[in-house]
Amino acid sequence: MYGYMGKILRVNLTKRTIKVDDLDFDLAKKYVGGRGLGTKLLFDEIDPKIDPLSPDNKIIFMNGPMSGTPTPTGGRYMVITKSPLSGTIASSNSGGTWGARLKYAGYDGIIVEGKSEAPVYLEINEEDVEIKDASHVWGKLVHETTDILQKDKNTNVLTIGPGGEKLSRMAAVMNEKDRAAGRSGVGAVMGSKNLKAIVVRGKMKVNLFDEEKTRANNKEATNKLKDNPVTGQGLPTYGTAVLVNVINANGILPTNNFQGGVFDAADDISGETLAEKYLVRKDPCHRCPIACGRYTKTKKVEGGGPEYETIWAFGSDCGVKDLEAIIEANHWCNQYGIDTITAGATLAAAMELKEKGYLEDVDFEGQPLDFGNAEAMVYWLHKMGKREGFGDKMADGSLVLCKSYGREDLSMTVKGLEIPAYDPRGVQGHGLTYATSNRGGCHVRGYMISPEILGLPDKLDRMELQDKPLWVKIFQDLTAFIDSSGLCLFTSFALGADDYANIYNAVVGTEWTGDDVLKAGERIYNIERQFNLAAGFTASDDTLPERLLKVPMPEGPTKGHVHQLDKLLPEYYQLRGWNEMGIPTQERLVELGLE
Amino acid sequence: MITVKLYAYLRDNRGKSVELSYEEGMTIKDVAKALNLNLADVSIVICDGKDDIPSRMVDHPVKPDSLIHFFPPVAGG
Repeated sequence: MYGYMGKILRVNLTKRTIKVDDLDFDLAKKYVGGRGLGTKLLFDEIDPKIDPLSPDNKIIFMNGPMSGTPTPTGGRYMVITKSPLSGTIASSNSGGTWGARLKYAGYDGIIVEGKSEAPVYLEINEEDVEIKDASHVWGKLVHETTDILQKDKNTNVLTIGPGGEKLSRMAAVMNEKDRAAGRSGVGAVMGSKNLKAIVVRGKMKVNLFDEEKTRANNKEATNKLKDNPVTGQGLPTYGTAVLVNVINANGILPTNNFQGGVFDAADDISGETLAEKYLVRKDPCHRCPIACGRYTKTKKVEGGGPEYETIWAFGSDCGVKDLEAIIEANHWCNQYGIDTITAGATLAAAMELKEKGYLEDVDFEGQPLDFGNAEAMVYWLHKMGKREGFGDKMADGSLVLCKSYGREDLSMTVKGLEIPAYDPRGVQGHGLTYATSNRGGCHVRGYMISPEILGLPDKLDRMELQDKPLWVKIFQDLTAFIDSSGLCLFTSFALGADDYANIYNAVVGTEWTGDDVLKAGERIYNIERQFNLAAGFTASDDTLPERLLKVPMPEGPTKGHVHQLDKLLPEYYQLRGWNEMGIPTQERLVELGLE
Repeated sequence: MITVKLYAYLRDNRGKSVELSYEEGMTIKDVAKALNLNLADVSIVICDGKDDIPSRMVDHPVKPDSLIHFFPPVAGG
């Protein structure tokens, strides 16, 4: 077996049993790995209707075939479970080195079942696997936990922070301190199982089908990434936050909880300002020639990040122009182990609730949550991380918060997941990806910003509707493959489906074309859809917040526009082979081998 | 005056923002030339809210009070 290690570790925390399953190679190739294979295994093993925080839920840590190989960016892994934030399938991606290390320990993935009576962590040293007492690290922040459990340079630590322990539905799974499988509340599922951390040690190698061809592919891919101005210059120099200004200049930088799309202080919180004032060094993931990761330092904190989405969430979405406060908020999200996007967006929703007079009975402890108040934002982030006072009400995300005041419409979410940093009123295709993403409001399930704003690979008119459903489908399918392969989505700025097929073939021993890559991605997209349908989601959930569909953008280059979802969705369903209820037809399922 | 905003490494030796005097018949190509800016280094141009790639914007007319943004190839997510 090439590319895959052939083993999946199965740990039952209720029974305290550990066993090793053989990986079904045919199944692995059909679903590729990571997001695809993890979803297939989860769907086969749990009822999608279960309570996500009950012992019946399982949490799967799954690598792709390219994880741990010398392929550039080959170190990413996926966390797959039923989301406690949205109730949808959750597959949350993280970089760093932990995923590759799990391969070096001899495993493609880990399936965790049941619930431990007391806090434990899992220690994996190749064939030696132990469930250990975690009482000495329970309650500790992410950085300290990592330092305590880290043994040597061949060890990597994945952990939750207090957010996950306290079952915050925005809790992340963290690795190497500041890398996050951030979205969908996957950290709360670990917390619900009393599983604090997974420590992995290993020095094995991944077998490659054709080492010489893999070397040649890697050289070619690396050259393409280095020669491409985006992956070779823009991202390494400025990080993902280089987007702040271009998104703002198009009038789609959501401001004050999506009440506007232009932020006057955008340049103050941009990637350019971050690089000029706070960047210490680049902080690349495993085997990554792009190195978009940032290591930053202010007078108060230092560490990994912040990313563009984080800067938006704590910046313009909260009306905050103080980049130091944003960096601080990012740091504490990493320490508590909570998602920066949902955390910032929830604070923004709270600010709008207060602005509209719904929070007059709240004790703000001298720190009123008003748009633009950076000090209060950081103060209440701490309270959210600790679930104290009004912070406890915010800790389960903006939908739970806004519903409790009868203003569900102020939660900028799709299927319960907070929409990220691009207002869909000015990017019609991207809005369609939000509405149809299988994990809810997500920007990395089909990044239409690339063609609609950035001109990659071609520049599309961002307001045009024609052909957008087809673009969205192709982007979603390609992304599903990349997420399942163990590579970084950012490689797609420089590589195409044929490149991925060549890389996969040399590592695994298949004879795929670019079309096979897209077909595998489509299969993965559809099995996620089937999970959600079985969980009770319907076509009525493929929508956007009312504000984005009905209230025209009040300002800037997008002024006067709303998102025209009703004109895009029918064609999208048709292209997907789904009926008008959003249900895959039998014919399409047979075609994809999902019958 | 025409206001031109520059980003990322296009700011090197030019600054963040430049003001130019308007001349009759001016286009994006003329603005780039005045700034010694090679449009091959530019990925996206936004002029008064209209955004597109340089090859489709070179002849776009500029107004006396236009706001123009030049972006090099950038991306993120």
